[in-house]
Amino acid sequence: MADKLPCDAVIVENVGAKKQGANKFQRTDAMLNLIEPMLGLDKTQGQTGHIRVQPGGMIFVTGNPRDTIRYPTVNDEGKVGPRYNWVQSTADPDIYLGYLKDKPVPVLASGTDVVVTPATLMGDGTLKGGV
Amino acid sequence: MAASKVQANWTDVSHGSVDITRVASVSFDTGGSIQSFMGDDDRYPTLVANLSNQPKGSVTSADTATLMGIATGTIADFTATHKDAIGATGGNIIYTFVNAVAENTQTSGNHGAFGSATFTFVGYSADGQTNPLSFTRA
Repeated sequence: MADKLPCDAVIVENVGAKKQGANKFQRTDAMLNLIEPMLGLDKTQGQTGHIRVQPGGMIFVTGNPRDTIRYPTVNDEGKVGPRYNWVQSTADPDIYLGYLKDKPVPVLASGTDVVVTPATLMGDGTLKGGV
Repeated sequence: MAASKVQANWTDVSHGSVDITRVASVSFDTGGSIQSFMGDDDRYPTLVANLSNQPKGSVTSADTATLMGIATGTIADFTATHKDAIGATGGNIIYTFVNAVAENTQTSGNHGAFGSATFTFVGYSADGQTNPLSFTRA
């Protein structure tokens, strides 16, 4: 079954094996060329993914640099926990596709997708500790 | 002209609505720290963990008035573009440091030399988990 795209966020684990290129620009470009289509971002329109390198080595990528993995600690609606439903990509088990929980029409309506927790996150969306 | 894909010099540096020009340097620090645990009869750490990170950054500019005008405690997004070394399109790295809280500005100038100021800031994460520093390319 193909991945449902676009999604709202992407987590990539084991990034070291995927980074290609001799310098920061080339590695960034390679990762974003892989991820931006998943997010529905069109580079030719100036839409780019923003990469956060997280402790433990995974990266969190969205189209807006202000996006967060969990709901902000302070928010008007009092929401807590993960902002996204995460589904493991069928193309690469190191890639998790995030779908905003707040969307009015659930993306994961087919009943065939299994919402999982990325290996680098706890069930409540906090980062796993350790090195 | 193909991008060199090596970066040199900065442009489009700003803290919120404050544009910062005459930039001599920009730095970002992920602020990672490691803690080691030893107990019982351990002679070496038996556990090493990254328990906290305190990202920060700074910018040094000859535009001392602008930097000195940023009040301590001001919260804004800090952005800076590290340019392609030969100025080619498509070789820039753009950094965005959200929730950058102005910490301090220090300025100095020696006789017979250009004056400069260094503005430092620290960042916080809205959810406590997401790195406030992100980057992309353009």
